[in-house]
Amino acid sequence: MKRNTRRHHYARRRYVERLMIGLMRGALGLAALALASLLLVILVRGVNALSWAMLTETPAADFYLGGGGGILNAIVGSLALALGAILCASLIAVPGVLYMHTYGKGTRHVAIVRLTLDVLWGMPSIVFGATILTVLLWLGLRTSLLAGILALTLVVLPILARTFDEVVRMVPTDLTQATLALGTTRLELARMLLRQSMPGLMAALFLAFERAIGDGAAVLFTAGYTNTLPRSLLDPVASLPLAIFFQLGTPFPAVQDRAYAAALILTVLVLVFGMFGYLALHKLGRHVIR
Amino acid sequence: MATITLHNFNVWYGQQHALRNIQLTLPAHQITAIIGPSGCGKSTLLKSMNRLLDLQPHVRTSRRLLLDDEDIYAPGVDVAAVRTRIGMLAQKPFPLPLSIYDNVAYGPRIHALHPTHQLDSVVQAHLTDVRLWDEVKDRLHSPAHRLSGGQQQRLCLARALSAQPEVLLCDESTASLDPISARGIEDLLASLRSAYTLVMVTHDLDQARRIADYVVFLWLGEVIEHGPAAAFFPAPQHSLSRDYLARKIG
Amino acid sequence: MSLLHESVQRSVRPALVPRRWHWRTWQDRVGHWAMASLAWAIIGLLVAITGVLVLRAGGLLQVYPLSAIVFGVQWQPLRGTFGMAPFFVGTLLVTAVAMLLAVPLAILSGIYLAEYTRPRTRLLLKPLTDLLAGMPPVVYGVWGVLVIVPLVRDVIAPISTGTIGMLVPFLSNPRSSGYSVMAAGLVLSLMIFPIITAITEEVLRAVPRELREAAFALGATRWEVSQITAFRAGLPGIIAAVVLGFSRAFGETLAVLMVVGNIPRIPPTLFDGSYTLSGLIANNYGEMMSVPLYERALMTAALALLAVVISFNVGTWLFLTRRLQIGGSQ
Ligand SMILES: Nc1ncnc2c1ncn2[C@@H]1O[C@H](COP(=O)(O)OP(=O)(O)OP(=O)(O)O)[C@@H](O)[C@H]1O
Ligand SMILES: [Mg+2]
Repeated sequence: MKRNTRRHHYARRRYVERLMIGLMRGALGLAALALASLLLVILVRGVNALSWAMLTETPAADFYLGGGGGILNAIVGSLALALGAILCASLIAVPGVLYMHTYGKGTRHVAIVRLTLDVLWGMPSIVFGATILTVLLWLGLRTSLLAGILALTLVVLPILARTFDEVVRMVPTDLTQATLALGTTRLELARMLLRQSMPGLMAALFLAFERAIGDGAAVLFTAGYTNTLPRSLLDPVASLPLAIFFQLGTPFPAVQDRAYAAALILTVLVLVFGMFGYLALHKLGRHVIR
Repeated sequence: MATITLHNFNVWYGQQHALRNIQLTLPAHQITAIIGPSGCGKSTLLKSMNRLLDLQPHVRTSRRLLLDDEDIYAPGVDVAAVRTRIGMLAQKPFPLPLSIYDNVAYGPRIHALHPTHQLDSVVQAHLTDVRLWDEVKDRLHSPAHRLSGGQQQRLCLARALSAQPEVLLCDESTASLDPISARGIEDLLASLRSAYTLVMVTHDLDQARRIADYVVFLWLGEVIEHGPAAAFFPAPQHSLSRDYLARKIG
Repeated sequence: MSLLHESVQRSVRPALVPRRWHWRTWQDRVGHWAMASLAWAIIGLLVAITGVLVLRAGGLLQVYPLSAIVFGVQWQPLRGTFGMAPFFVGTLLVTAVAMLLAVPLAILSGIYLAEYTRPRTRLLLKPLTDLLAGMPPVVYGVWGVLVIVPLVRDVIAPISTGTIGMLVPFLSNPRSSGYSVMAAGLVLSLMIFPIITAITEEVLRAVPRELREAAFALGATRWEVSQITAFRAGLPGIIAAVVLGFSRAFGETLAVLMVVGNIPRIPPTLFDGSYTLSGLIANNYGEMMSVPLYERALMTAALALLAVVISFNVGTWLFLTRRLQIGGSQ
């Protein structure tokens, strides 16, 4: 190759490099801008309508026309729904995933379970809602906290399971071997794996909680909506996403403002649980081998 | 007794024939050193003996590997029982994600070897045996992974012994340690020979000379030569063993 | 004296072939059985959901031909016409806009985070994607109503109409209300951006350091190294990320519902209102019991969503395991 063509070639590579860096920074900058505008808008519009009553009272009779009260019903409802869903989902996901790394390791069955979880992860939550609703209609039941929990369980099960799966996968094979070399059964190995991946499991639980609390489509048909606090598993229950959605849908500016306040509350809740997840991952686990 | 006997034992990884027709008897209550160049199948041989080999995908074995008179690959054998009776000390120390105390107590607990009220003294005795007690007696309940590498390896030895194995397999168990710690572990292993059948893989020929009673020389998955250390080291019979001992190969 | 000699008189010597099951063996067997059935239950859930939807949707398909559902443009359930073409087209358009915007940007951002940033910069930038990824859809919807809809109405639609819209009528609409395919696409693109970015970054950081160093040692620039890590070693992971982003965009309900305008016709331009399958289900659940076949039509819409998501995921899985010989069981 002649010298100046080679120099030309170098220049072109350097140019491509710089161009790509520019593009990447631009992409990230755009995202940062969008995030900033999102947080700012929610904060500014939300703070205006935020009041103590919003957090501590249930809606008054004329709430959706601009009357008094708050959205305590939705806050409590969302927490109850998310908590129930996490509980149900982890009862299936944790043993299921441990199975995938002990008894079932490397089998075809486990490969199919992983694929199923990926499919479920991608499934629109409205599909889960519609399915549970159909079952409710068959059984002649009304919308209820329990039905909402079941729909949300389907939403968070794959998130919880796949995240936990990745965590357990990170457990060093040396630990598996060291444990088995002591003559343990696979059940005892599963318990050791659980121990080692506990912080990751906590992080996965918080991630799933965050997703459960923010999902409105799954509870739309299943949990219903009420102005009162839930008293039993079979009562309908309000939720924050739907509180936002319904209030924004009314023609009254005062009510719409409260939707922004509700959005702010939801955002703060999600951020707080996200923070817990982060802390769980980094601060927990005294005995965990790193 | 705890004699390990291999009859025409073979291992395949997929298509690769990793161990060929191994025919051996490892004497009980002696230290057997398995030596040979890298990749000749030493770890494979060791892992066959406690069936950790089962964890590899696509692995196949044939014919028999006996502990005393029982084939550990026979159908119906409980793998957990095999591994209880044949313990292992790995190359790198790897404490369980538990406290120091719980690491040593783990084996006795799962196998229910002692009444609970004796556990403290059992743990103390085992930690004393591996000369770790004085260093850790004030922090028994702190995480085991905070110990130094040499301390961790001694802990792993205590953990393996507290499960009361009859055979102890060591795969280059001193290779990842500093010379002082390595010597310490080596001395401990040497002192165990009266009570256990020890099988160790080592790259350190001087170490093998120091502590082995019996030697197995492996080459490309085959046993080239085996016999008492007192006979093998001064006068190896096979030309490959001579070259290996003279460090011309491997 | 020392316990080392205890081995001579061990307290137990478990038989290699147990003559009877011990307590631990029982535990192990029961654990095996229970955990395996939970793992099967996960597969069972998907099968059950599919079954329920097929049963319900089947009722409509018996009395109403599939082609009329897929290609019919009239959606008048009260008169018994269930043409769903507008919803299919709306869903596809919204998803396409979101993917076109988000995928390239997200992959570039993921590469930047993994290959170009120092650990400290990453510590600042990483929460950005995590924060966005955790934000609930309905909050994106609120943001869409407050920011994106006015932006489309007052800025993007007029500019597009005045420039590229002169050539492409599909991009020209001087009287856009803002509630449009474009607005939904923009909101969705911000929603799936962090998902794809985060997974891309994780996939790239899992690429062994040696591979990267080997490429650098040959004198490659950072971008050239990134091409190897991202489009060779990391490709399966990135494909999985894109599929997940697609699924999320395709089935998103509330966020889209709030900004897409919900007009059941095939949109003449990108800046016109439209309607999606998920929106159709969500908006009509209240009235569906009263009209015959209506519920079944909605379940058909749900089945369509399910079918697309399953075939996309299974398709990529087959591609990744068969063609690239990776993934699968491990
Ligand atoms: N999981 C596996 N899959 C396929 N082949 C393997 C596997 N493990 C080991 N091998 C092959 O089997 C042969 C023996 O390996 P082994 O680990 O037993 O050697 P080694 O003697 O312990 O070597 P070293 O001294 O380096 O530890 C090698 O050729 C190795 O490549
Ligand atoms: Mg080895």
